[in-house]
Amino acid sequence: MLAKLEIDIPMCQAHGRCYETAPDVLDADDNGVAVLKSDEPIDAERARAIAATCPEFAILVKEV
Amino acid sequence: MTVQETPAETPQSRGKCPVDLWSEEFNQNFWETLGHLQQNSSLGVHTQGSTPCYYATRYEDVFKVLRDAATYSSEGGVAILGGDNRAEPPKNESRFLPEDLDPPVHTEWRRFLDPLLTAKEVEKYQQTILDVTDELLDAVLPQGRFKVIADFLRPLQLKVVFREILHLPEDEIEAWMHWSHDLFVGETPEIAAAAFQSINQAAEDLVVKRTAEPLDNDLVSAICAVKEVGGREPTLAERTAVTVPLAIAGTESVGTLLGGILHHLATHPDDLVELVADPSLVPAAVEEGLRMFANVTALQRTVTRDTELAGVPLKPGDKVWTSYNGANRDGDRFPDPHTWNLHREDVRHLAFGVGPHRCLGSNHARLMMRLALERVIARMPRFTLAPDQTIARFSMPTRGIHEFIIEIPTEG
Repeated sequence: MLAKLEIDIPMCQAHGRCYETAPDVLDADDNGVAVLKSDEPIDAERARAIAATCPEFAILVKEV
Repeated sequence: MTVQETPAETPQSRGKCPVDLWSEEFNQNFWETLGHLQQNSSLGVHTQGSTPCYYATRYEDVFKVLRDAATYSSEGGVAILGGDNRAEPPKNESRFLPEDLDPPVHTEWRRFLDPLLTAKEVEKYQQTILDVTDELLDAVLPQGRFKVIADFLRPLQLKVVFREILHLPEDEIEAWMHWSHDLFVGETPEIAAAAFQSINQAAEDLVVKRTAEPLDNDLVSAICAVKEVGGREPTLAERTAVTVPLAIAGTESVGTLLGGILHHLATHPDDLVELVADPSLVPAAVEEGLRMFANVTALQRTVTRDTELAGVPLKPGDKVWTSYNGANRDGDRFPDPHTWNLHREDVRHLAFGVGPHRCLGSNHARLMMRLALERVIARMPRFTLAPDQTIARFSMPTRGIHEFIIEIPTEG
């Protein structure tokens, strides 16, 4: 199953956990705020694991 | 592993439980007291002077307070220092910036500061941290036993922060080291208060100096160069109030956290063996250490509007104190919360806080902790707590171990 990640940008506080865990999927802007590298869906289980790194619960998983 | 059943009654029926956070009784019965508050009451009530401070210890409650800056303001002051007079009401003034500000002015300051301490940006400190770590281990390892805090962790964090972040001259570092220690864990409130004054003055002098002669790649110079915040130029006092937390925030916390981790490993040989056998677990060990040994026992927010927390009605002006270390060992959030486990599915702790005030230095702190732990397990894969010592802890405003001695068994 595939899923897309969605970042709730105002909620992101630049902890940096997601892009450290999945540097192939996410990157940071100059302030350390998470940026999705691509709009392509990824494996749903992996998407949930990435979302589960966010201390702010700011990453949403949308199954496609 | 099972999660303990939570009581069936609603928070409203649990009531408010008095707790004296500055007491030796609280220090001695720390986890029992927090566990009791989490399971049996809505909020603790610590009385400072004659003012009730509502003490949130559950993950859910602390998370809610930290994320809702509109209801829980930082502008009445956030930090609780060892020098705060315990017989007087809690602070209701701003001392540190941008910590004691709310959005949108807080956000403006963070836009200047955050880019200087992102995960990518702090990588430049890597070599220095490794060098300082190795230099300190070179000095203590031949002794076969050493004081972990005084001889290793305190000089490590202070040297890294004062030398490499603040770029202080070598002959000033000793004085800053004393003040920053006394500020948090000074033996008396008077000592802590004097240290606060001294460090403020020294930071102001530093701001004046760096304004006149800025350095490249220097955080204080960057603070001095900020042209406008909140529609006007920051004052000298404001620039100083931003500089002070840069100097002190990282000079107790990282050492306290690493101290908690090293003490745990010295007393849990199986956990040490696991880590030594697989150093790729170091980042997980740092996260679990941050969860279990988070230093912050209480930081303050001030209520701005009628609201309710854990069933307790709150009104504007009420003080709410949040326990990060309590939230991190809330059994409703983390199964088996007092057990070290590097394989937790979810270790999203509150050691660095959440919300707009997320610890500015978190990336630097993580880097230091990981590198120091890597070097420790590589250079002393076996160590134990030296016998016949009393381990004393402090609990306010942060929780940690004053000192402990470890021994490195001779190879045989």
